[in-house]
Amino acid sequence: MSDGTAHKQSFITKYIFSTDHKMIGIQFLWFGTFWLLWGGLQAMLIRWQLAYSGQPVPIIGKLLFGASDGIITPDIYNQIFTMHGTIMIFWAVTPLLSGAFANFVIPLQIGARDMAFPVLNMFSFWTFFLSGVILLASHFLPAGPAAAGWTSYPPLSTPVGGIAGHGQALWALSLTLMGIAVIMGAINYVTTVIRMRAPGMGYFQMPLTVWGIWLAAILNAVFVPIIAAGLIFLLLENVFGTQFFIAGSKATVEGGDPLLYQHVFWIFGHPEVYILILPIWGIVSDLLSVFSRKPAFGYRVTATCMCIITCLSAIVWGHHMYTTGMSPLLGKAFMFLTLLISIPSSVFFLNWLGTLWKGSLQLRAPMLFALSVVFVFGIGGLTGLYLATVTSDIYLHDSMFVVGHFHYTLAASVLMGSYAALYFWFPKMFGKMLNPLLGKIHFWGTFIPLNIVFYNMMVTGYAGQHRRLYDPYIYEFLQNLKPLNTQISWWAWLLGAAQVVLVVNLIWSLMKGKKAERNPWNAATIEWTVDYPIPHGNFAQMPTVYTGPHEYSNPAIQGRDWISQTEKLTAAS
Amino acid sequence: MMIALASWSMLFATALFGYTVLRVQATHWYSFGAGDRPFIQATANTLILLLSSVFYKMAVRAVGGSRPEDVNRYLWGTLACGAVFGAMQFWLWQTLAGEGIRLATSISASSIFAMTGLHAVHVLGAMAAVFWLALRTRRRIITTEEKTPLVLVGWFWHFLTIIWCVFYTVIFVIH
Ligand SMILES: [Cu+2]
Repeated sequence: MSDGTAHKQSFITKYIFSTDHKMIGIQFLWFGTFWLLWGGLQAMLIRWQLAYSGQPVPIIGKLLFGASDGIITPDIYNQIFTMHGTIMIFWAVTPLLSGAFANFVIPLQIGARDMAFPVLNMFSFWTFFLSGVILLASHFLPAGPAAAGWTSYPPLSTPVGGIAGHGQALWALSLTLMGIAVIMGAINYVTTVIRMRAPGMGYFQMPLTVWGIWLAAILNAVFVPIIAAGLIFLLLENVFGTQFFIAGSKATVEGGDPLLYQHVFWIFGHPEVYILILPIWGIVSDLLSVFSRKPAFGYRVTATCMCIITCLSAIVWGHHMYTTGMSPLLGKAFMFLTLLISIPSSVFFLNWLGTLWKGSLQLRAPMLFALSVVFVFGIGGLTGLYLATVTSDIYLHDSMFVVGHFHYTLAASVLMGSYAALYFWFPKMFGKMLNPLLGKIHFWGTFIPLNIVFYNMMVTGYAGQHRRLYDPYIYEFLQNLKPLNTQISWWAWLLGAAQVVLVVNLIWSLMKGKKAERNPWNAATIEWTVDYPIPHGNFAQMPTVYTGPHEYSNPAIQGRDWISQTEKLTAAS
Repeated sequence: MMIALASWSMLFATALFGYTVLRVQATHWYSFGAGDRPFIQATANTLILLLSSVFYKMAVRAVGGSRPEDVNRYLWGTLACGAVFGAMQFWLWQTLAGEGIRLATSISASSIFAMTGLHAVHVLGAMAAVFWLALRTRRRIITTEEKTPLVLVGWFWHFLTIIWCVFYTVIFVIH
């Protein structure tokens, strides 16, 4: 294996229990895509209820909710939005970023033969898979899956909270397993980046993609165990009837504390946001450089800003809990720290604009998605300021404004960034190009509805709509929001339909797509120096790194506008 | 392995954090006097786990020394201590249950069981790893170059001993 040559493998060791980081990455890709579609379908159902409250869901309604004649009942509604959030964050986006792209890209971009611990890597995927099976199984429980929201605050998420069934227990169990899988992956990524960089590749020669994924992995390794502890305690509540998180009249024994869970959840939960977005920042920084044919502006500053944000993200969790009656002094401290994050964020955001400034922009599919991240992340970031500020947050807390905001940062930015990455690395993963025309249709079909949907969600929230109301229109002051909500729903379904274009593109391109050249984007990073199919072991001859990751349009080079990281600047000129 | 230990530290630290918050807020908490049976059992267990760590240390020392076959012997010693620890832990839980302190009796009881249980599960995992090493070193003598797995599992073993000492202190010693 370490000689770098291809060797014979059986079907099982090659495609199922593979230890090859590329195959594991592809496994994560299909796994995450499955859950993305599943969670997406649930979003469509949520929008049905908010537009046509109490009416049977057409076509699929009878199939999904036979017992209620296709109507989404309040219980089912709670289950759907709980599962939508849980799935999208932990089973769709996490496997795509910290699974698929992390696995596929890290060793290739740093010039390593594989991950530091290939067997651990395999276990990581299959533990993740098992957790997915458990979560999927919880959908078929007689009382349905968990229904206490993706945050699963006690007491709602405990037996004394009143939600019947074992869905919550399976939720906690599957999430714990998922956490273990993520930690295994993170240990691998962190170690690989520290120990296995090719000769000549210092930290400041690493592509920003690797920076982003690496920092996210560090956050994973440190903060996922915290939520794991919380989940284990929650599991004990559900299975053995302990009452760590129960207080007040519901408690049969004294001394529990529901706020304890909230703290534990958000000490992890805020870094989780950065776990999801850091890889995207890295990927976008690199792609903007490739498709502007310019070096990334302020490369070192961008990397440093990402490090600063990684550290700051650990001490701001209180901004999710302003309304829990925390002391004003503590509230101000969390507000100050949170607003502090906007400084490094603004700096690298300006660096993105600096990269684009006077570049020769190539609006190919990955670039369109990367550019859209700049736009939607800008909006997501700015609307975050309202929620970071105590005074405005107290009004906006738990409203649709929050939903719109975090969909801009997580759904919009992370999803568009993942698509950028998919269109960019698909040629290296499968040796075929994704169809560019379908790519552009998919882009506009996603970008336009997405903005209309999430922007107007913030509008409804500002108008007072609570985020988890089953039927908002029982309140008189929300009745005039019905036309707007119906419009949001139609745009949301259009957004969902646009994803069919992606699925068609994936299938069509895999079967009949144009064969990809070795370096279709003329990119400088190392993964583009090897031919598809990349053998187990990646490199016939181990690469040596001579230049930074963004050597584009260097005037010292004649005849082309890029050189690979493995080429000497003098030799190429 | 350093990173893995950092992860595990966060797991146990969170449990400890939760324990502290709950204990500080509670109006009533179980504490044990020097003559109480749970205290004596837990103290004995602490000594056993410390002994197991000493055995492990000697196993690592023996690699490449004059009596390399001792590596295996000390590993079995560690394992035996681990097994006794597990059995004692089970006995301790029985004792507590006999006094009417069960998992769901009260917050304080739940905390004791959850913390010691979380630790015990990890000890079982570590014992599996030591068992694997003991089998590997049974017939053949390992050289200094081959001792990496031995050293890494050792870190985890000592880590669990330290965690136990902390848990022992906060649960059984502090009044
Ligand atoms: Cu936050």
